[in-house]
Amino acid sequence: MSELLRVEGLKVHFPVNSGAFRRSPGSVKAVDNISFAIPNGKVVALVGESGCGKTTVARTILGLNHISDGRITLNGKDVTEHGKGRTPEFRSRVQMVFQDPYESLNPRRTVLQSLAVPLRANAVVPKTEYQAECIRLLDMVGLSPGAAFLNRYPHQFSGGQRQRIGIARAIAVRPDLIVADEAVSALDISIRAQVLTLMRRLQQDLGLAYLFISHDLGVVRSLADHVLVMYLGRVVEEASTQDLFERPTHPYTQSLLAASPIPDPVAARARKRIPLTGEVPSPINPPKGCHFHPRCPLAIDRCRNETPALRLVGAFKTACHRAEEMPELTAT
Amino acid sequence: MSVVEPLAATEVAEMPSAWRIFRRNRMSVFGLVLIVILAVLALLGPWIAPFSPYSTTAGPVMAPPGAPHWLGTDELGRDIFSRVLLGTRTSLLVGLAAAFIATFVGITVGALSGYFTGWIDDVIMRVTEVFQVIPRFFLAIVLVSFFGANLVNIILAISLLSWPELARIVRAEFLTLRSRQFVDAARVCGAGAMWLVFVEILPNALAPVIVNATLQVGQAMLLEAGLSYLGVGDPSQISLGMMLQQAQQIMRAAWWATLFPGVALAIAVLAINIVGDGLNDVFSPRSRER
Repeated sequence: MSELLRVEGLKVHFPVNSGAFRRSPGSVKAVDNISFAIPNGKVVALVGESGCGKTTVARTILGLNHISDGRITLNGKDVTEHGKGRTPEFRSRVQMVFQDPYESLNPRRTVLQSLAVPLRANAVVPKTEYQAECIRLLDMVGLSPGAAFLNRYPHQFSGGQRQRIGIARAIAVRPDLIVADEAVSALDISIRAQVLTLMRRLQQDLGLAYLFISHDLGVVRSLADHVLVMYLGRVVEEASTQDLFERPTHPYTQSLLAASPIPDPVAARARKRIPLTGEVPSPINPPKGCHFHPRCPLAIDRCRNETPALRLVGAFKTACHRAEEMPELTAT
Repeated sequence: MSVVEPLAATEVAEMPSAWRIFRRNRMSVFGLVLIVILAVLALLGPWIAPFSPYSTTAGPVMAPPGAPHWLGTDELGRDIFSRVLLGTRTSLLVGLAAAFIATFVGITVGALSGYFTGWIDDVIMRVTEVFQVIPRFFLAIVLVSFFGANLVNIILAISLLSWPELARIVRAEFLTLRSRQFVDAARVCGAGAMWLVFVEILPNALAPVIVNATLQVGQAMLLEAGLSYLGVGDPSQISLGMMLQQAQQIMRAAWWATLFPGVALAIAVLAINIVGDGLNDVFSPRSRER
C-alpha cells in the first residue's frame, strides 16, 4: 500500500501573549508530537473531544497554521520548507472540506464564482470551460442539473447543499487527499447520512484518501479504515477501525466508546460503562505525566509522573502504561 | 444517487433588497432627495444662477430678499442666491473629493494593516494614532497656510486628516474576515494574497466603509467651511464658509447674508448624515431579518 501523506513529530504551539510588551509566559501545545501516515485511497480518522487539537492538525497540514516542529511529507516530498506557504503542486493534491457550511462559502460570490477559484488558481481547465466544469462538479456531488445552481448565492441553499458545494470545490482540482474537518457535524442527521454516502462514493470513484476529523464515533466507524484518538494534543491510541471499536486498549478510548449511544437498549445495558468525568484540562497547563490521568479511573502513581510514549501493543499503538493489563482490568 | 434532500432551488429565500430597507426609513429617503436636489443645483449652478456671483453691479447694496434678488444681496451688491449656488458647489466638491481620497487611502492602509498583521500592523497603527491625537482643525490650518490656500491643498489637507478613522475601520474588518472559513477555503484552493484581499475580504468589509465615507463627506464640508471662515480658504473660490465670514461684518444690517449660506451648509451636511444613517440600516445584519 503506497503512502500518500506522512506527518512526523508534528508540533504546533501557540504563544500565549499577555501584558503590554508581549512577554510570553507560556504556550498552548495544541498539537504535541504527532505522527501518522495516510495511505493512498484510505480513510484515516482523527477523533477526540473538542479542543484536543484535531482541527489544528488539519489546518497545519493545509498550511493555515504555522508549524513549530516536525515534518509533513507528500509522496515523500517535504512540504513544510516554506513555512506556512504551500506549493501549487501541494494545493492540487490536498484539499479541504470545512466544518461549517454556512461559513465556508463567500456570501457575496455565486456558486460559479466560488467553484472557479480552484479551477483558476490551479489551471485545471481553460477559462472557457469553467462553466462546463462547474456543472460537471455539481452533478458529481448530487446537485443536478448543475446549470440551475451556478448563478445562485450561498444564502439560497440549505446547509446540506452548501456542504455539497464545499465538497465540489474540494474535488475541483482532482486531489488525492481531502482533509474533512468535521465535515458533517453541522448537518442534520438525515442530511448527514446523504453527505457521508456522497463522500464514500466519491472516495471510490475518484480513488480519494480522506483525513476524516470528527468527534462522532458512529460516523467514524462507518467510514474510516484506520483511527487515531487524540487527547490534549497527543495521540493516545491508534488502530484499525475494527480493532479500535472492538477492543480499545486506552482508557480514554474506552470511555469515549462508552459515552456514544448504542441503538440497542439490551446491549447498552450490558456494556461496561467507564464514565468520563470532569473537563478537558487547560492545554496551557496540562497535567504532568499522562495528560489523561486526572480523569482516568485506572490511574496509578506512574501515570501521574511519567508521560507514556505511544508504543506498539499487539495490533495497537497505544499510549498507556497499563495497556498490557487492560484485559484483566476491564474484565472485572 | 437515490435520495437527495429537497432542493431549495425553487423557494429562494427572499432577501429584502438594499433599496427596500433604505426606503423603510422615511428620513433617509428625505435626505437622499435633498442631496439629489443639492447635487443638481451644484452641478448646474453656473447656468441656473440669475446673476454673475462675482458681479458687484448685480443690484443695490444689501437689498433684502425679494425679486429679482431672491435671497437678497450683500454689502457689495452681489446676488446671494447665485453665490450660495456656487458656494455649495465648492463645498460639495471639497467634501466629495476629500472623502474619496481619504477612503482610498484608508482602505489601502487598513487593508495592509489588517491583512498582514504583525509588525506592519504595529507600525501602521502607531502612525495612525499620531494623526488621530493631533487636533484636526489646527493641523488643517497649519497645512493650508503653509502650503498655500488653494482648493487642491485644502482637499489634500482634509483627506490627510480623515483617513485614519477609515483605516481603523477597514483594519478591524480585515482582522475578523481574514480568519473566516471562506477566506481559508480560498487560500486552500490556491488563491494568492491579492485575490484574498480584493475578492474574498474587501467586498465583505465595504459596508461600514461606505457608511463612514458618507459621513466623512459631511465632516469634510464642515472643515472646509471652518477653514474658509477663518480666512485660510481658497480666496478665488466662493465657498459657504467664506460667505459667512464676509457676512459677519454686516450681520446686524443684513441678516440674509449670513442666514442663507449657513442654512445651505446645514442642509447639505444634515442630508448627507441622514443618508449615512440610512445606509447604516441597509448594511446592518439586523435589518435583513425584518
